[in-house]
Amino acid sequence: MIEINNFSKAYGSTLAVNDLTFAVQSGQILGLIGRNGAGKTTTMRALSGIIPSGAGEFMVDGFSLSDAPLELKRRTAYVADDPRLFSDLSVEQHLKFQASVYGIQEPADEIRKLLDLFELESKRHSAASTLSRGMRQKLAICCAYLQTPTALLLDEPMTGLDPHAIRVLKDTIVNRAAQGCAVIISSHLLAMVEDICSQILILDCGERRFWGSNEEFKQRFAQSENNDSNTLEAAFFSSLTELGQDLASTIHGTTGATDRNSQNVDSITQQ
Amino acid sequence: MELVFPKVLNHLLWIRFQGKLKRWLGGFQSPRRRLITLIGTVLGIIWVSQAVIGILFRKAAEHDSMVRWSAIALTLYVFWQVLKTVTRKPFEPHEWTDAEKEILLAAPISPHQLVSFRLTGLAVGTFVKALFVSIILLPDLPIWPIGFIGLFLGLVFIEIFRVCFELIFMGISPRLRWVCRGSVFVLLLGPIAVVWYRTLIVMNSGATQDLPMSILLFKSILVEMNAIVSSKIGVGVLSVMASFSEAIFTQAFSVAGLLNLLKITLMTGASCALVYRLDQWSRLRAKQQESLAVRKGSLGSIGAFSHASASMARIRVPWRINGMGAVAWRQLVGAYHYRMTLSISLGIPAVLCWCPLFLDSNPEVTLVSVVGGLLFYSFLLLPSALVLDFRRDIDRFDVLKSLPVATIWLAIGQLATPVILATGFQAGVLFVATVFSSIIWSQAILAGVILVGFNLLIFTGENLIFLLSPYRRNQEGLDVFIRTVLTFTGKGIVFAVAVSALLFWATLSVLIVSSLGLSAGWAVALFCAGLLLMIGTVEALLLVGLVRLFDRFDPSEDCPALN
Repeated sequence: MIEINNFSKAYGSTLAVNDLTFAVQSGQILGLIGRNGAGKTTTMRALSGIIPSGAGEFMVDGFSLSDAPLELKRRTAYVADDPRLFSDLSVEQHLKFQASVYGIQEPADEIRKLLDLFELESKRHSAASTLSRGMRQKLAICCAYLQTPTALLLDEPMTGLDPHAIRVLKDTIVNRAAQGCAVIISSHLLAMVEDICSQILILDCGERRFWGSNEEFKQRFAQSENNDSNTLEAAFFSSLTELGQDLASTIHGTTGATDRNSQNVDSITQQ
Repeated sequence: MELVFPKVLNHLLWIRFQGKLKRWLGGFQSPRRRLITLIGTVLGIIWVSQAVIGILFRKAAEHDSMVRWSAIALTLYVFWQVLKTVTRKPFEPHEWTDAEKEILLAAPISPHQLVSFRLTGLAVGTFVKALFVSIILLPDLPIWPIGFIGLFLGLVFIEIFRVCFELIFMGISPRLRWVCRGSVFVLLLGPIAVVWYRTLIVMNSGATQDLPMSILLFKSILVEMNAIVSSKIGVGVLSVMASFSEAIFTQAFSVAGLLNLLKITLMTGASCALVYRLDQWSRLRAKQQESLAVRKGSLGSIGAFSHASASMARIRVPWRINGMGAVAWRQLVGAYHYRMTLSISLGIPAVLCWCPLFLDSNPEVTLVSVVGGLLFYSFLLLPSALVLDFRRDIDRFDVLKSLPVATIWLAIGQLATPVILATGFQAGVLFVATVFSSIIWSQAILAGVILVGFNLLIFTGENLIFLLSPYRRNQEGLDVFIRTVLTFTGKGIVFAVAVSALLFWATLSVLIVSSLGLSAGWAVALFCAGLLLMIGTVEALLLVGLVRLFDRFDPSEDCPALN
C-alpha cells in the first residue's frame, strides 16, 4: 500500500505541489493525470526518495520515507519518463547491479524471462549508450520488475515503446496488481488509463482536483449536458471546464464549451 | 565494513571504469578520431619525453625550498577550491549525475554508503593524479614511496576539504553565503593588495636599478610573499599543508617522519569522518530549507494561461543575418546568465595584465608587455572561460543541424559570442592601459585589431579540436586529466611556434624595409600587413575545416554518451 499525506514541494517561491494526500491500496492501479507541470513527476520522484520533500509523509507498506527510508526503497520501483542509465554498463550489467542492490539472490532466470518478454535478449551485452530510446525505456522497466516491488511508480511508461511492448507492459502491470502490487501510473494516454486503472487522481497546478474511482469520475463529469460520450477522455475535458480551465478554447482560439464536443476533442487529443 | 563500503557500489565503480575504458578505446576506431588520436599520441610522446628527461637529468631542488613551496602550492590549491565554490551558483553537494540520482538515490542504499561511494571514486581519481605527479617529482623525492603516500594523502585531504566546504556552503542560509563570499574575497585580496603595495614601494625606491623592471617586479613579489609566508599568520595558515609537504619530502626513515606520516593519515581519516557528519547535517538543512520554501511558497501559474499576456506582449525577434544573428544572440543570452562567473574570469586576469603599467614609462615596452599578457591569457586560459560555442552544445547538435541555416553562417554565429567577449575584454584592458599610461592610442588600436584576428584563430581552433574529439565539460576522470595535459602541452608548443614565427616575420620586415631604404614606420606597416594576411589565411583554413567537420558530424554516433 502507498500512502502520501500532506505532501508539499516548492521550487524557489513557487509551490509545485500543495498539500497532496491520497493512498493506493495493494492491488489497485491509480492513474495520475494532469496537464504538463501539474506536479505528477515531482510527486513520484519525492515518493522514490530522489528529491527531498518540503513537507509531508510518504509510506509504503507501513514504512515511512523519513523513518525507514531503506525499507521503503526496497519495496518501491520507479520508472522515469526519460530513464537515465549508466551509459557504460550493458543491459545485463544493469540488471545484475539491480539484483545486487535489491538483494536478489539468483536473478539469472528472472533476467532471462524479462529480457525475453521485452525483446532485449539480443541487446544483452550492449552498452546502454547504444540503445534506442524505446530500448532504454524497456531496460528501465526490466530493472523495476526485477526487484518485484510492492509499490510500482511508472511515469509515462509507454513513451518510446513499440506496440508489442505496450501490450506486454499493460498486461504485466495488471498481473502485478493482481498479485498485490500497488501501482501508480502517470500518463497522458487517457484511453490506456481508462483501460487498466481502477482509480484516478487529477492534479492541477500542484493541487488534487479529484481522487476516486474511474466510474465516479465519469459519472461526475461525463454526463454533463454538453457531453454525450462516456469515455474518460471526454470526462477529463469536461472536468477541466468545471474546474475553471478552458483548455480547448485556449489552445484553438475557439469559444464556448459546445465546440469541444465533436471534432475538436479529437483534434486536441491528436496533438 | 559492508555497512560503509558496500560491495555492490565498489563493483559498480569497477564495471563503470571498464565500460569507460572500452568506450574510450572503441572511439579510436572511428575515422574522425584518428587524426586527433595521432596528434594526441605525438603530444603524449613529447610530454612523456619531457617528463623522462626531467626525471633523469634534472638536478634535485633544494630540500627546504621544496618543502616550503610545496606547502604554499598546496595551500593555494585549497584557496582555489574555496574560491571556486563561493563563486558558483547554488548547486547540490556531491553533484550526482542524472543516472546516479535516479538509480542510486532511489535504491535501498543508505546515505553513508552513498558518501562512501563518492569518496571511493574521488580517492581512485586522486591516486592516479598523485602517481603522475610523484613520478615527475622523482628527483626531488628522497624516499619515493613515502613521497607518493604523502602526495596522495595531501591531494585526498584537499579534495575532501572541498567536499566538506561545499556541504557547509550549500547548507547555510543564502544570507550567510553572501557573508562567506565577502569574507573569502577580503581574505584573498587582502594579502594580494599588501604584496602589491609593498612591491610598489620597493620598485619606486630606486634601490635596485641594475635589474630589468620585469625581473625586479617578479623578485619583489617573491620577497614580499616570502615575508607574508614567514610571518606568524603565514606560518599558521601553512601549517596544515606543511605537514603533508614534510611527509612528501621526507629525507630519511625516522621516528619523527613516521609520526608525521601517522599524523597526516589521521588528519585525512578525520576529514573523511567529517564528511559523513556534514552530509547528515546538510541533508537535515536541505529538509529545513525545503520546509521553509514550502511555507513561503505560493501556488504558481504552472499550466495556467493568460489571454491578456498572450495578446498584448510584443516579442522582439533578434536579427537573423543569414541565421548567424539568431545563433549568436542565443549564445549571448547564455553569456548573460553566467555574467557573474564571466566577470570574475575576466576581471582577475585584467588586473594582472595591467601590472606592466607600474613597471616602465617606455610606452612601446608597456604596450608590448600588456599585449603579451593578453595574448598569453587569451590563448591558454580564456577558451576555458568562454565556453559559449559548439563546446556547450554537445546535446543540441541535432537541433543545430536541423536549422535552416547554412553551416558557414552557423559556425560564424557560434563563434561570434566568445570572440566578441574576448575582444571586449582585451579592448577594455587596452583602453584602461592607454588612459593610465603613455601608450600611443594608434598603437593600442592597431594592437586591438590584431588581437581580434587572434581571437578568431583561437576560438576556431578550439572548436575544430572539439569537433574532432567531442567531450562533455563536466566529466571527471582520467581521460579529462589526460586531455587537459595534452591540450596544455599542445598549446605551449603552438604558442612557442607562433611567437617564433612572429619574431621571424618582425625581423624579416625590418630587413626588407631597411634594404629598401624606407623608414621604421614602414617596417611596422609591413609587419602588421603580413601578420593580418597570415591570420586571415589560417583562419580561413580553420573555418573551412570546421564547417566540413560539422557537416559530416553525426550526433547519434559522434557525441560522447551521457554519464
